[in-house]
Amino acid sequence: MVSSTVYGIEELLDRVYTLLTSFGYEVWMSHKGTVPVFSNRTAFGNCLQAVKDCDLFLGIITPNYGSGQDPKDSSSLSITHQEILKAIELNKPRWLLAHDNVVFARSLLNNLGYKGRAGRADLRLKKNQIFTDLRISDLYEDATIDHESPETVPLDERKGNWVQKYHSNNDGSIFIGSQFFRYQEVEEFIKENFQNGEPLQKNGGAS
Amino acid sequence: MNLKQIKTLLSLGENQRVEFKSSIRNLEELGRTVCGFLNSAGGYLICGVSESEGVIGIESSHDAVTKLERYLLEHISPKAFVAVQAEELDKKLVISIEVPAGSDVPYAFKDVIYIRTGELTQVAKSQTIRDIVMRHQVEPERWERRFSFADIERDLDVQEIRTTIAEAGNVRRVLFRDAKDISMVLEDFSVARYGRLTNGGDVLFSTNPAIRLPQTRIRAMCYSSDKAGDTFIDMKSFEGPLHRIFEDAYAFIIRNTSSSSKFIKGNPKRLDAPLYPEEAVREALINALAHRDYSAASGGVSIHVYPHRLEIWNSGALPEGVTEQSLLKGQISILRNPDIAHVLYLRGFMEKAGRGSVLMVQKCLDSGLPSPFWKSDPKLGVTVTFSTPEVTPEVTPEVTPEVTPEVTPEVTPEVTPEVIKLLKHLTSEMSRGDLQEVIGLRDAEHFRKSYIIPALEIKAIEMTIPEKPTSSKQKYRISSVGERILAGLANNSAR
Repeated sequence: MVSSTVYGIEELLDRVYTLLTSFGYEVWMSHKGTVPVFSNRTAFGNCLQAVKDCDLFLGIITPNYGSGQDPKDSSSLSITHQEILKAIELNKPRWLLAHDNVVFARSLLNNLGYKGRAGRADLRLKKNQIFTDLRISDLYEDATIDHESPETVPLDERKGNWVQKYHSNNDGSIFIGSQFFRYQEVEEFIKENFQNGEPLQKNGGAS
Repeated sequence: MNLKQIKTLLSLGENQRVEFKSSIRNLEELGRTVCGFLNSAGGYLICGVSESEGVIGIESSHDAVTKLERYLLEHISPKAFVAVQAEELDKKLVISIEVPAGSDVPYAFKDVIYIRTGELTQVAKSQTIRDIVMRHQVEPERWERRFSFADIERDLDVQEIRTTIAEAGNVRRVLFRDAKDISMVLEDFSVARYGRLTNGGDVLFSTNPAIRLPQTRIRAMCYSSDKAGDTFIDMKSFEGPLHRIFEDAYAFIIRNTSSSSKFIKGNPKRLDAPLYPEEAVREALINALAHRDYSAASGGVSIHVYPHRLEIWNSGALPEGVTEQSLLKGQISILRNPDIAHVLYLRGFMEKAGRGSVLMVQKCLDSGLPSPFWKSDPKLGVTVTFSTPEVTPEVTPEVTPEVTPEVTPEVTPEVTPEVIKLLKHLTSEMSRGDLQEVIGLRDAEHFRKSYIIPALEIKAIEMTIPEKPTSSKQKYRISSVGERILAGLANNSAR
C-alpha cells in the first residue's frame, strides 16, 4: 500500500505506481482508486483497513499535510498521518520517503528553539503553499522514532525508523527502483530455485 | 503515393523512425506506440496511411486532432511534448503525431511502461525499467526544472496565466484539475512544485523574469546598411513573460522590414505581405526561445535586422543530436526545455519540433527567397539567417564572412554535373519527356535517377503538382535554390 497526500505530487505518485506495478506488485493507492473499498465502512475505515491488510507499506511525507482532519477538532490528524501511525503500530514492513522541505523545516524549527511537538505547540503557521501545517513535523518525527524503544535507544541502534529524504521525482524513482526491485529478484530466485526444481517437491508444503 | 514519397513530402527523411497506421480508431495502440517512442529515441506516427495501399485518409472528423491530443495527454504520464497535426496528402486527411525522445523517462501509457525494440512496441521488462531509472539519475536536473527564486505569490503575471489557460483550454481542451486555482494550473503545466515556481515557470509566467534571469532578455537592432556595427535605426530590449517578448520581438521585425507587394491575375487589389514569410520568422523566433540553452546567465537572444537580411541569434550550441545539416532535413531530437515547449505547444505557438526548420525552408522557397541557413558554434552560439534574393556576393563577404561558406558547402557538394546540365536546360516549366528530349537522353530510368531525383533532393527544381508526384501532367521548374546554383556557376566562370 502507498500512503500519501495527493495534491501536487500526482506525477510522483503516477511514477511510483507504474514502477511498482511493473516490478510485479499489486499496488493499493487512493490516487489510482485501487484501495479495496467496502461500502459498510467510512473512507477512513477503508484506508485504515487497507493498512492492516497490506503486506508492505510505503509512506510518502510531503510538505502538504493533507485532508481528513475533523474541522471541529484541531488536534485531529490527517488520513495520511493516521495511516502511517497505523503502519508503525502494526509493525508493517515499511519504507518512508520524506520531502527535503519537511526535513529542512523541522531542522530549522529545532535550531530556532522550537524543538519537538511540545516546543512547536504554541506556534501558529500562516496559510501558505510551501509548508501547510506544523503537524507535518510531528508526522516526520513519528516516522523516525523507534516506537518499540522510544528515547531509550541511541539513534544508530534504532530499528524500523529509516526515512529516505527526497528532493525530486527522480530521487523518488531511484528509491523505488533500488528498494523494491530486490523483491522481484527474490521472487525470481524463489521461482527459479524452488518452484520447478529439486528443493521443493511438486505441491511441496501441502499437508 | 508510396511510403518513401510520403516521408519525403512530410520532410521526415529516410532515417527517421516512422510508423504508419491506417486509422486512428485504435487509440490504445497509438498510445502504446507514442509511449514507446518517448522511452526510446522518439519517432513519427502517420495515421491514415496503409503499408499496402498508401494514403487512404482518416474518415474524419474535424475534431479528431483535438480528441487524439486529449487522449494522449490524459493517459501518458509524466506529461510530454507530443505534437498532433492534421496534414493533407493526395487531397486526403492524414494525422501526424510527432514524438520527440522524452526527457523524463520512463513514461507510462495507462500505467504501463512501453519501449521500442526495432519496429516493435513492447511492455518494458523490470530490468530494463530499473536500468532506465538508474541511468537517468546521472543526468543533472534540467535547468528549466530547477526552482526559481521568484515568489509565486508576488511575481506572477496572473493575466498571462489566465490567457494561457483560456488558449490551452480552447484550442487543445486541456484538462485542468481546477482552472481557477493558479497554483494547481502551474502544477498541471509542470512549472511549479511544492509551492515553488521552476525556472521554466519563471520564464513563461512571471512579470519580469529578466530581474533574476538576465539571459531571458531579447535585444533587437535594426541597421541602416548591411554592414554589421553600422548606424542603428532602431534598437530595443524586451523583457517580460516569454509569450509577450516573443510578440514584441516579432512586431519589431515587422516594423523594421519592408513588405513585398504583388498583383495576382484576376484580382485588382494589390497584395502586401511581409518581406520574410511570417510563419518562417515566427518559427525561427519561437525556436530560439524554446530550444535555447538558458543555463548560462551571460547568454541571450538577439535580433539583427539589415536591409537585406535578418539574423536571429541565441547563445549556446544546437541541442544534442541536432546539426546544421539535420535541421535542413528534419530530425527527431531530445528537447532541451520540454516543459517550456509543451506550454508553447498548448498555446498553439509550436506545432512541431523536428520539422519546424524544414517548413521554414519550404516557406522561404515558396516565397521566392533563398533558404534560411543556420550556423552553430559552441562559443559563438546559433544564428539563423534569412536573406533577400538581392544579397550579392559583393556584399556578403564584408557583412558576414560566414554567409558564403555556409551556403555553398550545403549546396555545391551535391550538385552533380547531371544536375547542372538539367538546370541549364530547364528554361521554363517542362515535363520530364521534354527535358529528356532537350538534353538528348533516351533512357528514361537513367534520366530519372541521375537527373530528376538528385535535383529534387537538393531542391534545385520543384514540381508544379507536388501533391501528385506521378501525375502525367507533372512538370518541373527551377527553384530559387537552382537559380542560386546557376548564379554561383556564372560568377565562378566570370572570375
